[in-house]
Amino acid sequence: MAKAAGALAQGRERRPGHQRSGPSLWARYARHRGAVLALGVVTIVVAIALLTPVLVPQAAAIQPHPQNMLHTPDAAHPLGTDEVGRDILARLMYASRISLTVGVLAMLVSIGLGVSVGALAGYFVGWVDTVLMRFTDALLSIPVLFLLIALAVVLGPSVRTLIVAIGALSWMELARIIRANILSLREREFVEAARAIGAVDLLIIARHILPNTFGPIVVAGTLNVGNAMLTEAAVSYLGLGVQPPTPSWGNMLFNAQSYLWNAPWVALYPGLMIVVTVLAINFVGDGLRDALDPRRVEG
Amino acid sequence: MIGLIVRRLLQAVPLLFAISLVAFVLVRLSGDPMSMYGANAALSAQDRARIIAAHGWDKPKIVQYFYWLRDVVRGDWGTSLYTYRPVTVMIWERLPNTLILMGTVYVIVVLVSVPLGVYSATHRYSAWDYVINGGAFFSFALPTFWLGLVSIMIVSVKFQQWGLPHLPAGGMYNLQRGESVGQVLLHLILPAAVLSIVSLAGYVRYLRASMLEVLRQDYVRTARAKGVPEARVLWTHVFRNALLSLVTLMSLDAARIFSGALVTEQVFAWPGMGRLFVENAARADYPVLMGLIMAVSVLVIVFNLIADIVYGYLDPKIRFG
Repeated sequence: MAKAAGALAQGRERRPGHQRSGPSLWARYARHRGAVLALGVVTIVVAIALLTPVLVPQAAAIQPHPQNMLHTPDAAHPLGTDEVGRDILARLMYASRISLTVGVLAMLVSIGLGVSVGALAGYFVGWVDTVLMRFTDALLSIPVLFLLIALAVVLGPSVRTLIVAIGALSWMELARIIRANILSLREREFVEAARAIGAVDLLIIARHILPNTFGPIVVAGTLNVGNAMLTEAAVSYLGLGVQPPTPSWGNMLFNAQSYLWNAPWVALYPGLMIVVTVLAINFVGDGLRDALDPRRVEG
Repeated sequence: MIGLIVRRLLQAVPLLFAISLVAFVLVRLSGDPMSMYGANAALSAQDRARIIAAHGWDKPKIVQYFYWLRDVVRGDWGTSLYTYRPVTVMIWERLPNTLILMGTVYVIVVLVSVPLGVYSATHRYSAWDYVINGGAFFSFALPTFWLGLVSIMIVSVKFQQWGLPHLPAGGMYNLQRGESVGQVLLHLILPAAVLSIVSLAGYVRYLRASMLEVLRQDYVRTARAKGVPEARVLWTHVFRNALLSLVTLMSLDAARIFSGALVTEQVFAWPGMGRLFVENAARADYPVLMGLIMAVSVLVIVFNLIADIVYGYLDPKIRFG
């Protein structure tokens, strides 16, 4: 019993949040100068998204002004206007709110699903594992965009649809990572100890096993935000995502192809915003990966 | 080897059933095929009821699935609800075009990612390693369709405005010049380049990581210790093993590249299966959509099988019985 309690304490000590020896998480993260810079960029984008309603009236992003159609960038419209005369800068700012919301919420949905499926499959092994993992494999072997388009049409294209659909179709890789982690964790002494003192399976998973997979969850979650934003942009570009007049970085490019000849700025800026934001988010994810896993050899 | 292929094909059958069921329910829920008749006044309520009954659309979706499945098992994939053309014919027209695009992309990706991955693993922390890694990171964040738009903007629109030789902005042929191999190749350059650039990053980083992993193995140290020349260590011991992970990645990636091809085909008006899917997605033409989803799923499974076979040839540790 004493041994069991000791092993249990050991398991708990490995939980993040509890101070461990060595440099702090932030110190390890800050070693990566690129990651710190990226965190700065993400902070700025999020701050702009939050402050937009205060800075720019929403009408500027939504109300068409046909007399200002496809204006070249000037003092009044620093990034020019689009095909119905709306200010592109204002639209970019409002679009950042939609794109970030879809990215973050879809990530939460995918983490919820990925962690649940991975944890159940890894912990219960046997037929539960077989059924869940075959299902995961099946989803991995259908090109996701095909299903996503079908789902978007079923649920009616909207921001909520995109969040649910993107989340529901991007959890598979996380589930596999979590399962692999749990397959090794469930054989560890502190899990055996918890089982020995009579803890219920679900409690063991939630209290003792999942906290030990915190690292991969955070890293996959960060990368999923970027990927979800890319997917949202692609679906909205196809006209099946965020619906006009609400701007998203993807649907701002929906009509851009027709104006490549005489108004290239319409196509340029939304894409740049996507690249910069997703790049920064991915750098943060990479920095977190190095910071959270001290065993990982620099590579 | 034949045993493996047969076993894999048998395993694929339940997988395809599962995919078809999920896809059918989704696609069938995605819209009412009757909506194509709109408010056509010439169509009486009885006519509508007759059409619905003839297609079995009044039955529960699951029953409709089994109708569809029964026909498919007999080799009848149905006809488009709009053009009345057989689904198989429509897909056969588009399939080669998608395969041309994807095949080219795979060849480019392998030809480019292998040298880059090997170089950055063997010259770790060199200036070029940072450039290659940075480039890979950058391409991870690139939206395929935007890269397509920008490349059209520069290589076809701007070059034309500047009076330089330029590439076509889309399609597969120039209608005035007719269909020829040269025309197809010319139209293929931009879409293949865009899809390759977006796909490359994963391969380069993966190859680099797996080569570094192999370089740390004991048998590499042993080979070096007994005086095997470094070039031979790299090519026979390290590279061969790293190639294994490349093959794995290629098979896992097939589904993702199909998704990328869907968007790329849309941007460049490339008449492939992805474009056919997008054209029909919004109008609930479910026989066509189902045919496409199943065709793509079968292709992904075939790619996986090919990867497994190649893997068996490359890995001396695996011998299929």
